Amino acid sequence: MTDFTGMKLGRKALRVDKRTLQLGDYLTPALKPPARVDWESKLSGLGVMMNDRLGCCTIAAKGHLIQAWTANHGQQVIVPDSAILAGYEQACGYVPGDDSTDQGGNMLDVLNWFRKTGLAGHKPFAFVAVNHNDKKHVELAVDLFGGCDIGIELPISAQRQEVWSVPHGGAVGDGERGSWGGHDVPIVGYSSVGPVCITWGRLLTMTWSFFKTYVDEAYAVLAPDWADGKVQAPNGFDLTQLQADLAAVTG
Amino acid sequence: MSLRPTRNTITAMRHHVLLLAFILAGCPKPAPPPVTPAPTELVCGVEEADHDEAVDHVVTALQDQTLLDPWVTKYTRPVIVCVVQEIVSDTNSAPVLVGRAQAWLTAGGNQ
Repeated sequence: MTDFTGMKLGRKALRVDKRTLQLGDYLTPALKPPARVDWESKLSGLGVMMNDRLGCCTIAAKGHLIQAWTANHGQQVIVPDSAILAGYEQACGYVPGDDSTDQGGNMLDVLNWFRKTGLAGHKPFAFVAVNHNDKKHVELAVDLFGGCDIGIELPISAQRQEVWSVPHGGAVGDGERGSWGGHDVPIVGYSSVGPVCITWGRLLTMTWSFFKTYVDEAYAVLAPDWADGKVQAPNGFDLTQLQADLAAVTG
Repeated sequence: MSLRPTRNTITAMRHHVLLLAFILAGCPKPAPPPVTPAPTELVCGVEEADHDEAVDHVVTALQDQTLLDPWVTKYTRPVIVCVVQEIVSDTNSAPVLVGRAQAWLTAGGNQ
């Protein structure tokens, strides 16, 4: 039986910065997400990335994104625990040996750190916020960017679920939003059943209703591991224009 | 000759004032054409939002091992059967759920 109760989380409450670029501004109505996207089947050797011991999910999520990008576009890179730890120290102020500093991180701050500093030598060009209330935008983010970094207000009921779903009775009691805590995971695929994320070293499916009920922030990260401007992304989408627009804003 | 305005002059001025007020207020706009809603894509015979809700219901029921019978939900048997089949064919659904979904179909849930 599934039991995630011993696992750590580590996502601090949502922080909004109005300067954050919005994916919706770059999408054209002609873009239609495919019914199914699978960037997960090429993954192997998924690790926990220290998120069973530390509240470093915001860093582990970036490590798993790097793994998914490289697995689908070249040679798979597995970010070592030493890099995850270094990232957690730099981005979230963790001091090894001092449990009081194991406080997790804010997704927006960690994404800014990821863009400016990089993780294990992998540095994205930019990131954009995704309207998590628009399923089509989320699907397009996964399809076009090779993943979507999401923030979830996890309920206690998710601790013992094989597939994350809204408990019967709704988001109350053990199903209450955030009753367990905030978590950051990357989505690396989806189907009509729901998005597939990576967490604690495994693939985990959630239903679209679960996503709608508990997710409160989402980002698409534009990385050279996925498309470097010279090479087309695996799905054939030319990201050069978007990359140029993002560069103009973010410098 | 009198310098007092004639009745015709006053009427003409009134018309000018009314015309000016009309222009300032803006011409009345024609009623917009009725908006035709975009055709809704059906999944398993229901709208996408209802389908997602049905999937959630079935997944939760399979996990909790509670009833999947249509009379405990607002979804019809064909919708539930379609959703269960989706879960069976979805490679990322947890094996234990797929097993239970298959068992439900085998036991005649789709009859």
